[in-house]
Amino acid sequence: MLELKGLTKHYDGLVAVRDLSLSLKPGDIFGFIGSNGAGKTTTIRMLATLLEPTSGTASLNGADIREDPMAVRGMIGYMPDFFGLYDDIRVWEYLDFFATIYRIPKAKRRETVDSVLELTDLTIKRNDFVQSLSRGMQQRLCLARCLIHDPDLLLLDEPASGLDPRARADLKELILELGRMGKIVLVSSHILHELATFCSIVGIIERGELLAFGPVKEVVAKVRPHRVFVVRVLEDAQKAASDLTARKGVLGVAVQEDGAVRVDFDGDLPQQAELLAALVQGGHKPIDFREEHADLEAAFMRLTTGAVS
Amino acid sequence: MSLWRELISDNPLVTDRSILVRRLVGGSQTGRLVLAAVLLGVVLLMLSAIAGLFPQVMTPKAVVYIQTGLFCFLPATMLYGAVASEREKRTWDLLAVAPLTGAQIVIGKYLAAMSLVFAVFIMFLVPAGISEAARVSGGSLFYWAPDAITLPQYIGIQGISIVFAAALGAVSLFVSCLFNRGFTALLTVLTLEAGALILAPILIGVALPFGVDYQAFLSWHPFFAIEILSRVPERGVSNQIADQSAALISPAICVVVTGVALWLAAGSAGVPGAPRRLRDAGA
Repeated sequence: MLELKGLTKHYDGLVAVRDLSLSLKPGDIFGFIGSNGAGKTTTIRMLATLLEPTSGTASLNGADIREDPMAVRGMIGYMPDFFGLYDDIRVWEYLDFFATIYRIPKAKRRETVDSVLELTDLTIKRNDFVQSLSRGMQQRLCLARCLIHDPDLLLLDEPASGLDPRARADLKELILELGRMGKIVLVSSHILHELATFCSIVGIIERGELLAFGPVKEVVAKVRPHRVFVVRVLEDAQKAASDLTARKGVLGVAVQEDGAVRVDFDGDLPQQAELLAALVQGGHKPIDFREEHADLEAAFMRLTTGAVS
Repeated sequence: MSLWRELISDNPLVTDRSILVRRLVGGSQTGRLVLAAVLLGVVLLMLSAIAGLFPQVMTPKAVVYIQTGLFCFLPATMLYGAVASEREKRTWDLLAVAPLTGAQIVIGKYLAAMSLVFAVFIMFLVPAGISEAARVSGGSLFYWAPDAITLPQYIGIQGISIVFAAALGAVSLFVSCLFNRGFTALLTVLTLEAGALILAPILIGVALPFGVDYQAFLSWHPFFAIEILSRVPERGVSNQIADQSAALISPAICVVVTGVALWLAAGSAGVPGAPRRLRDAGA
């Protein structure tokens, strides 16, 4: 269990993270969303015990990051927003070195290295030099390093940055697998539509303040509690809009620049059907009638202003 | 946890020999290390050959001078990047999030480097031994040894040499903790070293009035300390005692410098009780 209680960080009068409180349980995949400078990396570095909070604290399985950082370090895997690889070293050597410093007994080390290589699908690259790996593979190697001591919490700072679509898909599968293994995964990213597909919980942060937190659907619903339909008719969109205004469940109607009619709607399914029927009965010849699903990106844009600390 | 336990007995970077062995003989580092070992082997072979043929030239004292000359660079080149290059490559954070204290990391690195320096130190005993054997057996073509030193003197000057290497390594490590760029750290170490070993003696020599015993004011300097300690015994007992006392100044200073530099380096990486987090100054 990861608990953040009023976590705050000031830098020379600047508030990088303000009173951050949240709680995550094993198996949660938490998407941490925010613009550059919003406070994501600072939060992650505090959780990784690399930065001391100005006030507040966090605990992982009861171990406090301020009181017992060594215990916390033994339970976290930290992947920064850069690779951090040594030159002239082979894949297995890199992992074996970290297995050593995480005090994995010598007799178990080879088995451990092999198992994380298998998990990250790098077994075939065991004897390759680190610098010869592709960017996606290097990223997977970094993740393998994070997993070498079987941590309970994974802190992944922009793990998909710079990866091609296939490598991103592979990474996503791997993160899902880690969640299924019961690990808490905290992942920050700018690629919001991807985050929405694999995160069980998201948090939106701006200027160090957590603006929204919860399951993706709930966060999106908070931003837009009703549904939106986009309607296109063959002819007079203005008239179609005025005909729909008075219908049951309709909250508002507007004609967009592209000629489509946007209908804000909080009715039920029969009322939705009546909406379409009214268009047909009014002689409007609808050519498109679809629901515009709110997504994480829309929620993010709605909640944030783009300001940084 | 006691400081000994934290830094030495419970420090995987110290106790796990596989890291050191891999650096020495295995893995991908082999290429560079083999090259360095071959170069060192060639140098030692040449020294040994010269020592065997011309022991009056390549005396044990001369071998110690050459060894100390090598030690002016070896610890520095091994440790200048210990922290600075880790920061430069951004790998420091990966070590810092491991369940190790910063002090464990820097002391682990220091001892690993020093073990290699010590290995070189042992290798240099070979040409010195050959020289002495050639001198004693009289088998040399040109037997003449005005510079012969006693075994205690030899042990003494070797002590000065290795303690100097340890001090330079510690200073290099501390300097490395202060910078984010390995090259800057190396330049700083070499500048400090040149200032202490070359510039300072020149300035002292210029400042001293004519006729004053120049060497007496330079007994802190490792090369002068070696010279003072290896003076031939004909100078008399009182002079010997004075020489030995003067020559002790250099290793004493080196021991203090080693302690302070290691304490500062460990402190800069977060050892309890040491100065607070110089690490962040360079981070």
